Amino acid sequence: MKSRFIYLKNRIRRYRHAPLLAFAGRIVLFILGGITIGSVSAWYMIENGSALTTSQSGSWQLWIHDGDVGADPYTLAHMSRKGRLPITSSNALYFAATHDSEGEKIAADCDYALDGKPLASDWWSLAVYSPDGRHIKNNSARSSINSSSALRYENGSYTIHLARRARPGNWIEIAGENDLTLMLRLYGIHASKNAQRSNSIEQNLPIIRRQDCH
Amino acid sequence: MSLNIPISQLLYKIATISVFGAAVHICIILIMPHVSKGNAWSRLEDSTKLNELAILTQAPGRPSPLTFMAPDVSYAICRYDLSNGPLQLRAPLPNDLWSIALYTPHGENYYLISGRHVQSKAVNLLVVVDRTIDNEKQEEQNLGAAGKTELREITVSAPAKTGMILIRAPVPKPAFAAEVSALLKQAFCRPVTFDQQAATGR
Repeated sequence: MKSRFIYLKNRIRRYRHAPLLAFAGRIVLFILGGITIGSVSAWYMIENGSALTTSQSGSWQLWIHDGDVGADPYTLAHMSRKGRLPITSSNALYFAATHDSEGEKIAADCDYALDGKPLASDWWSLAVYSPDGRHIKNNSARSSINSSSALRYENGSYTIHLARRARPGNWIEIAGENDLTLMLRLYGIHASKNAQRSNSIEQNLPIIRRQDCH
Repeated sequence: MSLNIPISQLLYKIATISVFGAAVHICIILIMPHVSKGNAWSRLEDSTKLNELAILTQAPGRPSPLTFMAPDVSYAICRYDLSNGPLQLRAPLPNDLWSIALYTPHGENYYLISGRHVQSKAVNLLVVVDRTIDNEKQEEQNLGAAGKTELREITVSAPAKTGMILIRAPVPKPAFAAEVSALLKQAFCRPVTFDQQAATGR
């Protein structure tokens, strides 16, 4: 095998256009390398964002300039790939979670409890989706909970159960076998400045606790 | 196997490929909003007509017209093209939670009006391409306007001839679904005819 390789190598070296071929090969490798580096890094930044375009609070990720006019190119590319129409970030916030508080992927075959505190907005809604943003098929049509329908404790905090079987209190039915994405949307944000928003909302976002897995 | 390349030459090659990669990266990011078939405009192109309001239906397990739609919000959309003149959108705003958001084809929300902004039971939006209209001033006027009115007239300047208007009608509890749906059906969007423009004096 090795002698065959050396034989071929010598034949190519003796070929009169060998230098030209070698140069063309280097150009092709250069172009392929550049396209690969550019595409993979662009895909990563569009799908996952970076510290410049997103903010992370526990399990929850927020695209800082979602829906804004003059948003950075990464946010615009992200929005156009996802096919969402978010309200401008000064009026609404959209937090997405794909992992629980332990960093494990949110899976349809596990039950979860979400412990949250009051959120400084006119209205919020929490819903469960497949990773590509579709509603998951379930029997009860209970795939979301909002601030009007959620049952709360005396101090305003609440627990939402994500489970396959019905639970007392706030329950969202999950089904299927795939990973899940949660989205918490807040309409009518009370704090207009970013710093205020961080204090009043991001610290009160629900903690996603994994419970039993089936 | 050893690389018989001087280290400086190797670094030069890595740097050159990285610069080319960065150029490819920037091109992809900048071109994506213009070519993506996954954006909201493209997704709605086959299922909705231009300059007509369509109520978006969503059902568990079935493809929804847009991704990540809230199950407890009813949506209606109007894709518009102002090439032949302005567009009129009339919609109820029965409570603070209802909103009407105007978007560029790339999904930038350039104007928003909600029940919290206007103390009116309904709004009549006239969407025009007119750079002399300041949307921010309009919003300030709406916030400052005192008293509850039946219908508020608002003129909005669109940054381009095409775009989308999305009405969001939250359904606080399932029992309200029929009521919200009936209210949403009262909304409409249509091109403004020459006679209508003359009648309103705009």
